[in-house]
Amino acid sequence: MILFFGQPSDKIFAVQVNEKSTAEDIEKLSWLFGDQPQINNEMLPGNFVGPRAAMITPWSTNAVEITQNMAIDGILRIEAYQAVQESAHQFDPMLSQKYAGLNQEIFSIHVEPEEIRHIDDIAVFNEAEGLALNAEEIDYLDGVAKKIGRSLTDSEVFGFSQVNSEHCRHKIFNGTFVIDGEEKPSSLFKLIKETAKENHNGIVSAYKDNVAFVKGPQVIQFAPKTADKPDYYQKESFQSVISLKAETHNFPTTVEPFNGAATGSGGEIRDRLAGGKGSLPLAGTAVYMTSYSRLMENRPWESAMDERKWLYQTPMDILVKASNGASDFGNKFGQPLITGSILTFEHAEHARKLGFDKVIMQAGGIGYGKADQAIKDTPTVGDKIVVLGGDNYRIGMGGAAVSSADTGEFSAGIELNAVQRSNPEMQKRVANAIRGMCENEINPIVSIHDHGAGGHLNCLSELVEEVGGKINLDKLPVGDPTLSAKEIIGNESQERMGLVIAAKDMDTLRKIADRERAPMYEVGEVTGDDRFTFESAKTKAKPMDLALEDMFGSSPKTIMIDKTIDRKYEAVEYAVANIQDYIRQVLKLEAVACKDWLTNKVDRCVGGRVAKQQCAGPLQLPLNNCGVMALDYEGKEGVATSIGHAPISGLINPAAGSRNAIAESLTNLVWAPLKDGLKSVSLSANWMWPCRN
Amino acid sequence: MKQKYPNEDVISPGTVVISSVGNCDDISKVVEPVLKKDGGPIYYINLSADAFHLGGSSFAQTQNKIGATTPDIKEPLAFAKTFDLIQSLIKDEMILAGHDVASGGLITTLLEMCFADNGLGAKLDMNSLAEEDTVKMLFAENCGIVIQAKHESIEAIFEANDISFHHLGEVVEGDEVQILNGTESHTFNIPELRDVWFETSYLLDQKQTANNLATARFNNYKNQSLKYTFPSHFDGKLPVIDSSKPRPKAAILREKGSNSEREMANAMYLAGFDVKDVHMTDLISGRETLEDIQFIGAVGGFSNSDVLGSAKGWAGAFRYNEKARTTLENFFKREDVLSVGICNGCQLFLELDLINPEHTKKSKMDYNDSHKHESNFTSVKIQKNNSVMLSSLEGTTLGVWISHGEGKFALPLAEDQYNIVGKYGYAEYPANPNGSDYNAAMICSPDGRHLATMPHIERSTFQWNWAYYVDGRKDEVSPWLEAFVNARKWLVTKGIDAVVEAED
Repeated sequence: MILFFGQPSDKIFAVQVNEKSTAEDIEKLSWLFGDQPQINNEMLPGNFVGPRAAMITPWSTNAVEITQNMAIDGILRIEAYQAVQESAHQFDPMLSQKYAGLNQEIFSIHVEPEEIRHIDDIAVFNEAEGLALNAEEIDYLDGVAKKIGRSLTDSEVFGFSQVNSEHCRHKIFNGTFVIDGEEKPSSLFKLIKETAKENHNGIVSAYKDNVAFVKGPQVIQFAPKTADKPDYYQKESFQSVISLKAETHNFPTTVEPFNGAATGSGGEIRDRLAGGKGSLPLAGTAVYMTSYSRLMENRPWESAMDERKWLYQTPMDILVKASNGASDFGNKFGQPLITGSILTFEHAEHARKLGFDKVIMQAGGIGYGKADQAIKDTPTVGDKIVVLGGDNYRIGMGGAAVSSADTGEFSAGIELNAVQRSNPEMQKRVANAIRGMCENEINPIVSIHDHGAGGHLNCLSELVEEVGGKINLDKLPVGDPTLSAKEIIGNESQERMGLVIAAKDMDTLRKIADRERAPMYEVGEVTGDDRFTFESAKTKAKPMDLALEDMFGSSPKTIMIDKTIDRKYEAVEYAVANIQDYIRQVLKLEAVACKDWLTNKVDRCVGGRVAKQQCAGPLQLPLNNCGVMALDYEGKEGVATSIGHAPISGLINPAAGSRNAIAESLTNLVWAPLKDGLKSVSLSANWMWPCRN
Repeated sequence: MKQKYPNEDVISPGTVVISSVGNCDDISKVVEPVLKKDGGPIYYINLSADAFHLGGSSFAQTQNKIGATTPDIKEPLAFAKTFDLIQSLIKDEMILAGHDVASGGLITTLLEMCFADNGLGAKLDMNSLAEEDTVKMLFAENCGIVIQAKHESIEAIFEANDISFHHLGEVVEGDEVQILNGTESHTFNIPELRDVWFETSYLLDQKQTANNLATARFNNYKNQSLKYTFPSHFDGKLPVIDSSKPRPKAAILREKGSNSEREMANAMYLAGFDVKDVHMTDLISGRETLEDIQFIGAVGGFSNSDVLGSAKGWAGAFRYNEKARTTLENFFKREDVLSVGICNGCQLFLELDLINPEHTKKSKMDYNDSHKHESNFTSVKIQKNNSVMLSSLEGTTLGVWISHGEGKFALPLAEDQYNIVGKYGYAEYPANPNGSDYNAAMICSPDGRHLATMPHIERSTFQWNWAYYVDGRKDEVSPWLEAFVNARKWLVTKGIDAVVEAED
């Protein structure tokens, strides 16, 4: 049943309990809510805004865990509701809904878990679910069904679409380009990898793991001797590797900026946790690009293009909310954000409208690991497959596929369903468990991946893609009992890591995870049968059972045919007499203007190892060129990072724009003394290019 | 990468974002874009090796143009050579300030190098650039850098390495940047243009900050210059610990969601403690009893995400768990122990009423007046106080990190009922980030043994992790480490067998 606490005229806490609460429990709950009394009614009249019924919030997860710490048993969910006027409409329908009265049904959603479906017409299913499979891939799947002599399940088709999405497979980057009738000799990916071949410098691993590693210095680990019990700190020397990663989260940030940017940051941090056999994040970076913010009338460049009827949020809202989201995640996770960039832009010429209406939100960061843990091992038969982190909810179904498509192509229902939400505190616990393993004298992790796009499907299949594995569906943690098998294995609930570890080492991990309160689930085993299977041990149902070669075997060649368009843009006209006006205008453009609004809300010091962040001088204004983190507390060795981009220059001359982007990142980085000068530098490029227009 | 509307499409420009990384092997030598009043000349180096072009510039953007031609990087090898030369000059401490030329062009770079301090100006002659078109020269975004050298002798090094450079002029005290080009003379007023530059930030800040504090920030940012008074006895040396003697025992106390245990542990360790890592699960299960511990530090972070109030859940775990509660109560009953709560730990101490249990009206931590997270390197003035950790720093003003959402001390009694150990260097927002009663930043128990501080003294223990330090010093530790050393010394006087510092 649901108990209510608080004031019906102000704020109500609804507590779902599965058994009769004792008077002592009620007193504890009342204390927890700030000495708010219990209201002895089964229903409350009035109007309230609160979380959508189907959505157990991360706030609830935390609140329920507090009650467990306070030795109160049997609490399932706690949500808060704000009393509002009947006419209230100022809330975000993505996250909240309005309730006319609160009753015993506010958490009920009346959805039965869908049975496993067998898909006979893959093309129709693809369309209905927005899976973004192309015709060649549909043919391929029809072929697989024929080969194995049965129709594929909904999970299998969905899973295939996730592991083979543009997001995960870079089909365009690996595709063939035919420009002006001439086939290019190299794919884009090959071209990019060529740079690392030509100038290998200190690269330890690149293009094959969740992060890239470069060689780092010998540094000092300052950590407790053991991680599975209270123990004393000690110093120990180790050979380091330095990690670098950047990932965009453009589509989710366009649709729901706070959670889009927060989960973008969270997902990118998980990548830096999942390098080699585990690695540790040090600091984050953030880049935002939107159309004009239209803050004030005094900016004539903002009125050249009419303001659009924005599909989701205004650029101003996106800037504020997205940076709030990215900041909140880092602040709570305990990762400082030490450098970044912002650009706003719109332009109309040649009957073509340009602008970052589909925004760019890039989360990046640096970290480190140990040289002797930098390369993953191959799982062996009998190894355990483990999930660390939170429960499965109906979140982000289909994000990987939808994010690679143009925004606005799918119905709003599908798009909203594809947005995730964040719980940085959960991720912190998981990260602490991994830290405990990495800092151990011997780290027994065999292999590790983060859960991102495609959920368990992508993560767990990647873990065993060389040997095969079987996952027990019943062991996957389910927070929402109405999830179908497809939804359990494919949802994008955040803050989870998958790892492989030998059976004999499970106890070590269990002790550390328990101590850190990181939920840990043994979900399956490495089989060596070259298949990837989800099976319910109870019902024997198999939502997914495919040979790895069938799952990963599709290699449709993407062919991009285009011709060169030589666009000339009008030159700027000006008079030197106006120079004082010009500087006053330029200084107001978001890209040039002060970024204090970003730095004043984001943690830039946590960990005590921030050696250089954005703000400088006696006035602490955000002007610094690069960010620098110390690798230990010894005051000498560290990691420097910076950002560069020049997309507007690239409109005039794409090659020059790319060179200018690299040059900008280098002229930002040059101010940190690097061990071997330019030879110490590694770059990571995130390409976002409109294709097939 | 396009947005589809019912009647049109808007295309995002093709964009590549470059992230760079490198092993910085001397983190104390990173150059900042802040000119030094008593430093050497200002130089410009054009790394594009290209003529000035306005295409793709922020200036073009403000005129609603993309522009016809864009600068490029014409000589990558020369670029690489200059990069490495600048690196070696930085390592040799020949460069006092430096900034890249990017968004906003050369004029923006020059102005920005004067923004971060008051009274900074420059007198510059651009004639050696041989660009008659001053607008083009100042607003083109040709890749380049501006440096302030320690001394003119840098010119011989540039020449010897065949690097083309331009001596632009000197730093002057004042409020103006003056630029000469041909017969033209342009004067730019720094305080005024700094406010223009701040305006966009202020407008966005208004959308995220409560109680009109964005306006207060806009008005105050330039009037809250960081000024320090260091302790006269401070020598900047790392404490020397006699490794043949046992160290007294400290513990850091953390909960799920804590994130500041390492820096607290390190401050204690450097001060000569043996530091134990203690999680709430250790106390709840009873495997840790704190019986051999003399000093505990409750660390910062977001325990339980701070839902239902900062540190509320953490306090609940103490209040309603038999073993954890008994362990804590027993610790605080002892008269030979010390404690410190920082940030979330400070919030925990107030929620558990550990600082002033004798008060009938309880103190508590409230949301910042701005109703947002505040992150800032600010300063704290240490008051006359009896805190074991901080009384020796009385009268000093020191730089310190703050980072919190609920840091406002709500102190219901008269000021003299509290031991306010530290107050913010300026009482107004944002130097005082939260609107605390009596401008309080740190308070301690009546006997001075238990300290609760919102500022992160444990994240501000080194010269290199202060965001702004005093010029010309090379300290191994900042004055804040003394607080932890004082804790050790006090415990030694209490007869705890422990180290005697080699220096004592």
